[in-house]
Amino acid sequence: MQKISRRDFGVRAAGVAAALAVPSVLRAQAQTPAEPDPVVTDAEIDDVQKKLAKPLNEEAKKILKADLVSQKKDTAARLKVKLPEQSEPCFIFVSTPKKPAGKEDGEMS
Amino acid sequence: MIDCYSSITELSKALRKKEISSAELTQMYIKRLSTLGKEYNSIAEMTEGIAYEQAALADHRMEDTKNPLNGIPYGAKDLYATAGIPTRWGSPGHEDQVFDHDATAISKLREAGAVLIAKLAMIELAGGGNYDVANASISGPGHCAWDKTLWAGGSSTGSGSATALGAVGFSLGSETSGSIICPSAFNGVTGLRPTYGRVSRYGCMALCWTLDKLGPICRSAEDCGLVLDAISGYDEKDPSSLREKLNIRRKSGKMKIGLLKEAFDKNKATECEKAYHNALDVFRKLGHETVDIAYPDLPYDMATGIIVDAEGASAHEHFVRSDRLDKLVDINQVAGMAAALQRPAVDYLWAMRMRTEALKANAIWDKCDCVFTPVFYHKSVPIEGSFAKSFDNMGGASGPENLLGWPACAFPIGFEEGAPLGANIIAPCTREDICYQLALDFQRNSDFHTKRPVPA
Repeated sequence: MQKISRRDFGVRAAGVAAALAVPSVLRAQAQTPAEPDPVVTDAEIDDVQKKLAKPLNEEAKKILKADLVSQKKDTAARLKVKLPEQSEPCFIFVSTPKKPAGKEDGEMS
Repeated sequence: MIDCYSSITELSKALRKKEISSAELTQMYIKRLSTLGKEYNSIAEMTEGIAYEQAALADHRMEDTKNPLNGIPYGAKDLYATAGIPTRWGSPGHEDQVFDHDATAISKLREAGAVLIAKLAMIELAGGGNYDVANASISGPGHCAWDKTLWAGGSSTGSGSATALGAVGFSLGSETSGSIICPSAFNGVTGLRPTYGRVSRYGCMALCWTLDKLGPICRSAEDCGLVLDAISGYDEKDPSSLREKLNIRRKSGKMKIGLLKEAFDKNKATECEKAYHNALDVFRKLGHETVDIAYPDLPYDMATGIIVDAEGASAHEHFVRSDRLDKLVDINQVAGMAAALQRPAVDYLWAMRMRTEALKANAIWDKCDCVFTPVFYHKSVPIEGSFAKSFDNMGGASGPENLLGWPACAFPIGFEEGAPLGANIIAPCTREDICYQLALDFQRNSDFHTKRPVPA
């Protein structure tokens, strides 16, 4: 249900009007000298491969490395976005009390 | 006189007047889909056997039902479970997958009397692993109905092209982030992405539990309304489904349409700019007002990407860890699904906290009733080559729409070098009626949705 590669977000965001939600922090970053790409080690690639049933071929490993670099960039970028201290994830756990036997919803004991 | 492009209302009238039977209509669409649809890679699986049974039943009960979908042939994206029929999710790694139950939307359409003639092609696993080529599907690259050298869009690829080719009466698609509105725009058809929770997700492939939406892709807004009426509603099998009843024909009178700052010049989108302003003229002549708006400046796309990674990796973890992973067509998908396993939990929780912050974007609804914006700045992209390159200058959503579950209706507003350009009306949650009314208004005062692709 995704329409295109998410790695392409940066490319597309750059092509879209600044008003279209390119985060100010990211825009600011874009105006400063480019930061070096985060390092992804062979051990990290191996760590992913251990989770898979088959080893990846060389081409897939290259793409995997780029994807992991992209993930690390996300982490670095999101750490620069200040969220309110009290903010919570947009899902909540709702406790479900055990209904007394024979009682319908809303019926008092 | 009806034809393969007739609206659902026209087809339904013809069925009721016995000018044609559902069996004949079914035969007409099956013939068209199995020839043209095959040529455009729109098909995942034909379902003739069940189709003729359902058509016979629809003919039998024609006088006993007023449901406008009774006897109307349709196709469903291949991520809707259909009992006893392969549901491959577009993936060669799931080629033997057959469920023993129907998705709720499929059950509702069967109850309405609609006739399932095919499962329609889609991008493998709805593109959850970062697809980068049109060929990322067990069905092959989906051709745009208007130009075979262009892509049909994704991930509801076959739903867009088959509908535009007049090879189904209507179709069902799904969207996590663009998958209904993109193929609708690229094929010049009308797609309605409902509010998150409006249509039960039960029985449909999960890419992302908190973002997935199911909706119709049709040849007009009016048709989308009829289909959404049939498939929406609370379902105890989907805890996220809404209890609030859909009222798609609610009259809201004159609207205030919000306009974002568009980047036509920067993206050399001359034709799109012209089409956009022509569409605005139509709305203004009808008495609707426009007002400039802007979304709060937040990293919506990054949050969406992280959520899709994390939830997609969880939903498909067993597959990703299995020896079937490397059966996926697009190597970017293989690597992307593997990489998603590494997405840190703190990233995901940050994205979900960001989503709470993004709720502030609902403040725009104090200034306007809806937002009107192009789906992309250009016609579809070439079917060959990497999307990372071809999507340059396309624009596309970078707002909070999907993150916040807002509904949208995409429809054609013009053409660029013979291929369609689409725009969408975006509305607050549960206000599909606003998207519907404005798209309907536009289509009653323009003829782009009645234009047909040349090969058809």
